[in-house]
Amino acid sequence: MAYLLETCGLGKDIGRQNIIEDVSLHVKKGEIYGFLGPNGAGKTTILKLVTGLWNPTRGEIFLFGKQMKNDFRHALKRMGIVLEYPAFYKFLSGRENLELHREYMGYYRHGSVEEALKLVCMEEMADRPVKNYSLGMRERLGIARAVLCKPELLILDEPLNGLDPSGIHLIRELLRRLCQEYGTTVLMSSHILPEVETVADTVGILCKGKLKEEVSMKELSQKSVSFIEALTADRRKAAFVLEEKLNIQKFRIMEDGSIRVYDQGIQVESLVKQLASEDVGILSLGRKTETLEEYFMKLVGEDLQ
Amino acid sequence: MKKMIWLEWKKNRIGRYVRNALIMAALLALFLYAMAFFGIANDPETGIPDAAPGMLSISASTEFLTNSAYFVFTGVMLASFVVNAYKNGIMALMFTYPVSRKKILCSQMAAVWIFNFAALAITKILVYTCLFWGGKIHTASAFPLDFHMESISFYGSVFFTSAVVTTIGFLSLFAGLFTKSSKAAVIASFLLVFLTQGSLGDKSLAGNTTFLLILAALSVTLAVGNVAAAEKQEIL
Repeated sequence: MAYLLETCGLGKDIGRQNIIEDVSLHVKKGEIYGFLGPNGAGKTTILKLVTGLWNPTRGEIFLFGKQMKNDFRHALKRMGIVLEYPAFYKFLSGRENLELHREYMGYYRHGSVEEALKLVCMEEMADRPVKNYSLGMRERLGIARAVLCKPELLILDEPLNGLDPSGIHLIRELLRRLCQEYGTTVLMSSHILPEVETVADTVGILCKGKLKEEVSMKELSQKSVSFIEALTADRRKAAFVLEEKLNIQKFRIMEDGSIRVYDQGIQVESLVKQLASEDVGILSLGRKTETLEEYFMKLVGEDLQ
Repeated sequence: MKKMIWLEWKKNRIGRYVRNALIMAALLALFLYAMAFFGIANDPETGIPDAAPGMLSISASTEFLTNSAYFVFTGVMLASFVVNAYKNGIMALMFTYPVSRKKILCSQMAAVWIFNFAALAITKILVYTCLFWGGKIHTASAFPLDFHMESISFYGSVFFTSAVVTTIGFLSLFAGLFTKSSKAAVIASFLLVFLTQGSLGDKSLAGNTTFLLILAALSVTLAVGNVAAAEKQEIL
């Protein structure tokens, strides 16, 4: 398969320290790739390598099917980038900052600045100096700047930082729209796992500079453990019924008081009936699968400890 | 390249620097005019100018003050255009544009050099013009008016000095880049003023063309080295 972005055995040392080691990423055209990892895992380092701000110590990077070192400037023209906190000329207005970006990118399509501002709902604030913007507004303007030239590959480093819930919703919808309408490929790093779970097609999980797993959300849902989660009025009685009356051994009482039944043979309807017949008050009950956060913790939890 | 230089001026709000350069030129002209014709530098008891050796003509004072002012002005501009750009993440943004890094650095340096060269040359000509017309109005001057505005060599000398002084002013950039501090760049520009007015043993460095040319050559060498290293540079 041809990938839009591919890294092979990528490694970066700073002094004697091994920052990242043997990272092989595969980002398909038109997908949203969520790059996950705890703080200090090396997410930003990889994004800096992919955007050419740092030079790899080992390995190769292929962008748009070509080796990055051979055709880097041309590749940059097809990319939109927001790394860490977006930098602006703070005495200039949001609109002037976007116009400058357009000049440097050599992109002169009429109305593109207005369009980008509209995408992030920043039209009204566009003429105010950036120094008066809040952190969330700067993040949104950074994303407007990154999408201004209709990039084929959008690289976003923690794009949801500093955004309020409406801002997060806006960016989530924007990313989906960019993928669906323009076929834009998105590589985003984040530690807000529930948000990544809702938008990403593929996730790469990084820990201590190593890529632990690269998996599509489809595969992940197949791999994830499915269970029945029950919230009851009396969890001790419920546990007694499960173990003694129904002879179920694979269940767990969680910290929040809910009970998870991992026995795949048991059906939701029969469990409801049996608990009710034993006079256990059921507040909620349903089948669930592991969240990305749970999967993530399972994968990197030991390393973190 | 022309467009890149223009963009540098635009995003750094060159209008502010034009205004400041105009104010500085007016103040310098006023001060030197007052020195020459209102006797502000004269000893109140003797009535003759109280000037250091080597500063007994108006051109020496004019050159010293205009050059010193522009060592500092160039340092401040470089701190803002280049050193701060590294510190506040603007350079990282610039390096993600599909433009050669060498071109980016060259345009930043050229934007500062062209502005300061032009501003210094214009300031010098403005000050000398004021003194020239002052000489026509006033019957006496506290300092000898030892310049000839009618001569072409006068303008050649103004442009040559302006170019050399602006180039030397770039040494402060490298101090700022080396220490990653815009304050260091400005402080270095003040040190340049002392260095170019100092003495080595019993030899004065003020007005020593060879010494100034050595400093200018060092500045050019550092600039070339800095630009050449840009493509491999890792930032953030």
